[in-house]
Amino acid sequence: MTTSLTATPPRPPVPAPARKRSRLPLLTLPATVWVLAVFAVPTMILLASSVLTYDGAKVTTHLTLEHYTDLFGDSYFRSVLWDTIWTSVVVGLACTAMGLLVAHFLVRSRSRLRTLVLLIVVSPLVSSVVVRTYGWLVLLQDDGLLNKILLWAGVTDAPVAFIGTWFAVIVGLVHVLLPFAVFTAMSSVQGVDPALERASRDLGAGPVRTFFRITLPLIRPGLISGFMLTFAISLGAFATAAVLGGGRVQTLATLVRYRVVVSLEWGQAAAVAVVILVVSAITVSALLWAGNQSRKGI
Amino acid sequence: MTMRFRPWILLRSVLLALVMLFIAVPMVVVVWTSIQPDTYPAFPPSGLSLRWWDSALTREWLLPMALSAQVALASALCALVMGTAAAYALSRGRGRGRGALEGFLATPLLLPEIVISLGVVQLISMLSARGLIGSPLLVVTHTVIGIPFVLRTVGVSLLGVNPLWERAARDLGATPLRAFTSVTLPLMRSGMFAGALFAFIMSFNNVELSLFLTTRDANTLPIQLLQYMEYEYSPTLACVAVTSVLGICAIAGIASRFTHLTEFIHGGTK
Repeated sequence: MTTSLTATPPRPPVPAPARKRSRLPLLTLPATVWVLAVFAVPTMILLASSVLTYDGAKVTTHLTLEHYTDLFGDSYFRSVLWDTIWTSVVVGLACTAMGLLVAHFLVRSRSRLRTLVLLIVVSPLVSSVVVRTYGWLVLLQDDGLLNKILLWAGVTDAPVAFIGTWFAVIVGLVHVLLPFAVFTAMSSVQGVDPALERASRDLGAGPVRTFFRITLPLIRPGLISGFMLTFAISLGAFATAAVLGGGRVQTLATLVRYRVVVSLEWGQAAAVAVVILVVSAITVSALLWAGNQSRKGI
Repeated sequence: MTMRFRPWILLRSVLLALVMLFIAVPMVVVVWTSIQPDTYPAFPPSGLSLRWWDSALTREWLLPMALSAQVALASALCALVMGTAAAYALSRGRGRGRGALEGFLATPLLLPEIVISLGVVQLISMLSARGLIGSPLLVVTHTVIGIPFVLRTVGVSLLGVNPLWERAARDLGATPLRAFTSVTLPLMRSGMFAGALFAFIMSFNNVELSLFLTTRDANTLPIQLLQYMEYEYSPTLACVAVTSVLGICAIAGIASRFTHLTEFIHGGTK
């Protein structure tokens, strides 16, 4: 492999002497069919079954909107919907801010601690959400380490009940989603030419001003997609809410599980799932659109 | 000049240290819980003990662990084969549908997995085939989130491969298959290992996608852990968790001998 060969651009036009019809696209067929069968078709079925009546767990062919009217007529469901949305917004914002802080350090710093920081950021990915949630359970429960430390240090006289609060759920979700936010923020910070930041500094702006006037506007699309990703995942996240919510916190995801496993209301479960799907699909497309717009504005 | 910026740099370092602590502490706590004697770990610590490990390494936990490993291996292999084929075709194709197809194959990652899980169960009951619920169905479903990872990592590898090299091999008399296996395949190998590893980990640790697809007899490890945690608290779970993390670390360690994982970390998780 000579240097002259590797130096050629990645995708030069390949001359096709014998213009035989290429069979290459056939190679995408297995993956496409698989995703259609296991993702697209079930999603369609879910949409359909949320507007059909049920006979036990069996779907009938009668069209109805009663699952949705029941849901939105129920003030309990409306409060769960609202709680899930604001929690996901808080989680998304916290992840984006913390992710940017870490990503900026990882990309720009020449500190020897860089490798250590990267290792810490990647480390949660080897464990499942459940394992990390367990760690928070040990920390946050009434007899947990945090309360023991608080009592030992004399900060409180009685244990603080963290489990079963939105605070615990938000902390757990941010912990789970932070690595994703760091990686998306890293790729956008990498896209900023350090010369622009240097120029701003040379012209007399301080580091804070340079960051807010130069770096931040340039990485806004990346931050938006990071927020979009973490918001959408936390909207349907189940494990953290189920465990750290201690049965007292209800999100859309725990509601779906309750309807399927406990109360066996399949139509209602499908309707709640469709609500999750629609809210996340709207967010994803709205923010993708916003990302494109702000990219055009530069 | 440096004096002027001290407060800003100090603030940033303190915040960064706090975030690092936030990330690391729960993991450290899990490890600590597994090797200390108290049901509720004491502070200040009261000593070391391996008493919780007796009940962790039993059939009750080893069976789900084995099932998770089988499902993860099988779905990673399925995702590897289909993802690699698709990535190769997409990198060579010049069709207009390319971006759309890439987007379509990645959508399962963007939409909530619990919705996919419920959809699959609905489909199964509609076909009156609830008997299918178990490991084969888990493999089939997990493959869907493995494919985008393989597609991405193999795609990254293929960026460095000039299609002309394969043509050169053809011109020198190699059959198309031989040209592919002796020129392109070795260059894709790193991406294939990385993609298969990510797909394996995603499946092994998966909760939401498996939520409605396991049974009492065929429970994956994360789901069984979750079911226990919801109703009771025991340090035994810490031992099980540590075992599973060590398993993943061992596999990642072996895989990293064949691939530069850091190269794919941004692309692989996005």
